[in-house]
Amino acid sequence: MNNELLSIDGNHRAARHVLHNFLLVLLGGICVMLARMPPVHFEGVSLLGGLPVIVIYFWVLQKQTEARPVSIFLIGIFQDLLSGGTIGVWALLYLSLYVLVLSQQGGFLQFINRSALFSWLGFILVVILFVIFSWLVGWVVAGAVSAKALFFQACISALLYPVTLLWRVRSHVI
Amino acid sequence: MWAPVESKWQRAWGGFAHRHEITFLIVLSLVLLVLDRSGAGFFQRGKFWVMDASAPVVALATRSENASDAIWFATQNHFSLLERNEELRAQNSRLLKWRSRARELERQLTHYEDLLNVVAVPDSSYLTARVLGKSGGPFEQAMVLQAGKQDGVEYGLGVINAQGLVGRIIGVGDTTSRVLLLTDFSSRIPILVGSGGVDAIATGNNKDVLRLEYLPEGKTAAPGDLVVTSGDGGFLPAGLPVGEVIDVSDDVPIVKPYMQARQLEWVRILVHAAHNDIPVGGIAGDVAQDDVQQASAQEASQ
Repeated sequence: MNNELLSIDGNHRAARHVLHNFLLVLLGGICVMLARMPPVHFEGVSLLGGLPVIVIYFWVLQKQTEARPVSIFLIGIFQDLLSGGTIGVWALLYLSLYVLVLSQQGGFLQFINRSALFSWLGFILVVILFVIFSWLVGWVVAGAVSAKALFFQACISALLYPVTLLWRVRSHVI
Repeated sequence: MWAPVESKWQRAWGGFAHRHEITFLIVLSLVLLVLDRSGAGFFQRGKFWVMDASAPVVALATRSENASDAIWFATQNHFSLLERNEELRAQNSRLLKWRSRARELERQLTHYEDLLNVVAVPDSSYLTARVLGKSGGPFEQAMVLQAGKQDGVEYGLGVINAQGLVGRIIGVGDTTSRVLLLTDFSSRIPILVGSGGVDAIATGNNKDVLRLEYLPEGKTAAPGDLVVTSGDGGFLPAGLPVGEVIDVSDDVPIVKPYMQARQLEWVRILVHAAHNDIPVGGIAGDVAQDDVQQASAQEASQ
C-alpha cells in the first residue's frame, strides 16, 4: 500500500515538475516575444528587454529547485535564435542569473520575504549585478555594448517588478 | 497526514545532478558562443540546420508579433488619417515632378553611354524575404531572414528595403540566412558622401546612427549630405541609399541611416545577375503575395 502511495505521489510530483518547467519556458518565451513589439521600443531599443529577467528571478524564488536549469537554457537559446545574434549569449546570461538567484537565497535574498519592499530591493540588486555581468559579456563577445539599451531595460524591469507582488497579495489572501 | 519521505541518498543525488546540470549547461553555452564567434564551418552548418528546423516556429512567433504591429500602426494611423492624407498628397505631387526629372536624366544618361560606348553594368535581381527575427538588444544588430541557399542567397549579398540599404548577409542556411545590420558594431560599408562623391567608410556602433570614418584628408561632410554605397569590394552595387549626414560637430561625422530596423518586416536581397534561375522580384519561402503587398503598403505608410 505504501509503495503504491509512494509511486502515485512520485508520478504526481514528476508531472507537477514538468508542468512548472513547461510554464516557465512558455512564459519566458512569451516575454522574449513581448519585448520585441514596436510600442515598447525607444530609439531602436526594446524597453521590455528585461521581462525574461523578471520571470526567471520570480520563478526561481517562488519555485526554487523546481525551476530546472535546462528550462532557463531553452529561454536563452530561443532569444538567441529570435534575435539572430550569437548563439549562447542569452543562454549564458540567464543561467548566470539563475545561479546568482539560487546562490543568494541564503545571502541577501533571504530577507525578501519580510516585505514587498525587501523583495523589490532584492530584485534591483540582482538586476544591477546582472547588468554588470551582461556588460562584461557583451564587451568580450561583441566588442561593444549599447549601454543605453542595458540601462533602459534595467530601469524598466525595476519599475515593472512590483507587478509580480500581486502574486504575493493573492497568496496572502488565499 | 502521510508525507513522502525522500532518502538522504536521493537528496544527495538530486543536489549533485542539479549542480552538474547547471555546470554542463553553462559550459555548453560557452562552447556554443565560442564556436559561433570563431565561425567554425561545421558549427555554422549545425547552427543553420537548427535555424532552418526552427524557422516554422519562429515564423509563427514573428507572425503574431507582426499582427500586433499591424494593429498598433493601424490604431496610430486611424487617429491621423486626415493629416496623413494631406502629407501623402504633397509627397505624391513632389514625386511626380521627380519622376519626370528622373526619366529625362535616364534618357540623357542612355544617350551619353551610347556615345561613349560604355559597357553596361549587369542589373541585380532581387528576392523578397520575410524577416524572421531581429535583435533590439544591447549586443548585436542582426536579423534572420526566411530565405537561404535554396533561394539563391549567398554570403555577402546586400539587403535593402524601400528606404535603402539594410545590411549584408553574413550566414546562409538552406532556408534561412543571417543579416548583419548597418548599425552593428562590426559593420563596415564603403560609401560615397555628398554630390562630390567623397570616399569613406560607414561604421556601425550598436546605436541607431552610423559614423563616417576614413574620409580623405582635407575632405569634410556637411549636414544634409546624402550617403550612398560606393560599390567598392564588389559585394554591394554602387548607388544604394544609406542615409544622410546629420551631425558634423565632432571629428567623425554622424549619419542617420534611412532604414529603421524595428520596422522591418520584409526586405529584398540583391541577388547577383548570374543567377538566371531566380525570377526578378521572386519571394522566398511559402508566402502569399498578398502578405508582401500588405506589408509593403504598411512600410510605405510608415
